[in-house]
Amino acid sequence: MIEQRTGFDAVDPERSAEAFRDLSAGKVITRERFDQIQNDMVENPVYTTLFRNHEHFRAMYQHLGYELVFNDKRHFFFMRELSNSEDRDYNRNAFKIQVALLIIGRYFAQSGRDLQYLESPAVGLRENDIAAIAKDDEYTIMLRSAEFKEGVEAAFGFLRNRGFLFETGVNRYIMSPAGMYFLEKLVELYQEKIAVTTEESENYLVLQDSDGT
Amino acid sequence: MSSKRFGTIETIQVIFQYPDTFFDLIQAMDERNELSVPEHELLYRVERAMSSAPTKERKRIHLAFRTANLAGSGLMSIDKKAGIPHFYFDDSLLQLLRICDRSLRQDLTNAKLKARLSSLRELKRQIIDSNLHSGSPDFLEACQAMSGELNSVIRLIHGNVRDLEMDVSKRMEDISGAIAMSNERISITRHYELLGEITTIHQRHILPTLEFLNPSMKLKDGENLHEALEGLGEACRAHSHFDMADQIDRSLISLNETYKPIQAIAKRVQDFVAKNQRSLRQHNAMESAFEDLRDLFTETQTSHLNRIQMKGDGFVEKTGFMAGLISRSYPSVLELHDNVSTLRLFRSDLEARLEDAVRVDVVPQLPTSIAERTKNGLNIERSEILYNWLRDMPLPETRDLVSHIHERLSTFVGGYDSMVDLMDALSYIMSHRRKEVSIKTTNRFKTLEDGGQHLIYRLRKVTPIQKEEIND
Repeated sequence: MIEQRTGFDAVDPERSAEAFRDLSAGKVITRERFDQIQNDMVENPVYTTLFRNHEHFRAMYQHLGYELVFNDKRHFFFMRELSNSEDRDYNRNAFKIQVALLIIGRYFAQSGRDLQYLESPAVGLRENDIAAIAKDDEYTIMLRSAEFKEGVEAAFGFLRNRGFLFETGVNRYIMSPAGMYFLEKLVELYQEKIAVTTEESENYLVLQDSDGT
Repeated sequence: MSSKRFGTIETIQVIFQYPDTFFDLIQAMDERNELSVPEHELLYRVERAMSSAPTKERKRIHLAFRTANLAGSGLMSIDKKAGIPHFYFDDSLLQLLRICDRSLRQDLTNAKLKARLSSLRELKRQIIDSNLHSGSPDFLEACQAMSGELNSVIRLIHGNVRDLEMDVSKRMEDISGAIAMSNERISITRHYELLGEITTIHQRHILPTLEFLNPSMKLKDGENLHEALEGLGEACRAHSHFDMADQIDRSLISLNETYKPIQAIAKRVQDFVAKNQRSLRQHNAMESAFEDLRDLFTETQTSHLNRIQMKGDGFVEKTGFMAGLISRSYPSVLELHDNVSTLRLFRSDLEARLEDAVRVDVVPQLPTSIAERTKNGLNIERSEILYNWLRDMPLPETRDLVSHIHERLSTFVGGYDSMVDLMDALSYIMSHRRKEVSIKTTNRFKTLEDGGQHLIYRLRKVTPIQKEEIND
């Protein structure tokens, strides 16, 4: 009898271990990452491994009590805890990430720049941007209230370590596709909200009309 | 002083020395689509011009722009609208000023272009009506007029494209500059205003010109420019008026050449507006999300006196982004911490278990059958066995008394049933308090699962009482 090939045969154990180490540390695995030496985006081999053996990893992590989540819009993986949403800490990391990303996005939009420049290595976030965020008392106090005790610096470190920001130089960052996805999602939700409001007001006008006649 | 007056030339000199005053007025009139301005609008702008001029000049400006002076020089007439004096300026003065400022040129608004087209159509009709007879004076006159009209249309369109190109570039630069300059926060209203100016140019100047030049544009009221000119050219050629036909062809080629650049301008403006609209939408989206966060923060600050950290579950759920992202690489249930208190708890728990193991010879065996237990006698007997065991059981420090007792009983006591015996044991412990420990019941709830049954209980903490305290 021929033994059935399992997913394990197809995967390099070292890569697999690396993937688990990164994922279990709460990192996102993006398709590309920024390489400071080449000063350009380069392919991320861990992503490739996960992508090629998606079904294998999905099943394996499921057996360990985790869900491997793939985002097909911005091409990244992350791992979430399975069915434990009553846990007080279930959304703790997600919240920290959302708050930090939102503050960066808001700061950037308020300075009149298009959000797409956040992921452009030629623009991105520079030292003066980080200083400007740090100088804003409201941002600092909100970051503290989201468990970044050291404020902006801690938030940037947190996002960088988890793959939401790429460091492009000394005190220079660009946003990773995973970070961009969140900001794009916010814009999308806002648009939906606006559409609903317009629809509601249109309905209201129609109602008024029928009342009048 | 008050009787002093400037002549027309001097007045015009002052007007052109301070052209912004009139540029502004013309713009205001254009925006309202009116031919006059109310008195106060002129006064306000003259005041502004004076305030920025040197003292010596102020008198000159004041004199030149005085109502009596302007009216006396024949540069304007006054009429009252709803009791307010309105000024009507001389048309040639306004035309001259328009030539000086590109943005004020009106030549190619929709209405003007339509007028041009209909006069071309009319001339064509006249030429055709004259049967294109070379001897007919009507034909010669119409041909001459047609030549003139064609040249003037081409000149106008060429000039306008050039102007638009520069004007649009300048305005886009202004907007980008205004955004870049305001390092922190550009006012959104200002942003909309700037965008409004550019869209006005697009709507009033660029689009009509594009439509005017577009060979495939269908018009309700008749032929478009191309159809009219091509038809006329064919007619001329058929009647051997080759000079005229050639001129029409050249004009068509020339107008065609203008179509592309103006299309390019239109595209640039559309892209620019789209990009800015996207920026504004992004800006509003960020504001809206940040407002939610601010609400959460305020709520945390005002309604929870001793809570500093925001509770972000609701916030996270809005986008669902990264919800449940793994936050630790070790199992949380162990709650192992590298500190004294954890180690002490661990040790005292271990000691208690060892104690249980030492007493293994007196471990009770509880009646197993449920039927037996339901009889009162047996229930008491069962409880007695359990109480005997509990009486000498050491109670160490623990953060969760219920699960601690459950663990110990289920390990050692035969026939143990969590739902019956655990409750029994707990009520015994709570009613037979020991001197050396204090038991505190908290308001936190936990769930214990055993054999498919769930018990929700309040967390009870056991802490040892210091010896001195007992003596007190």
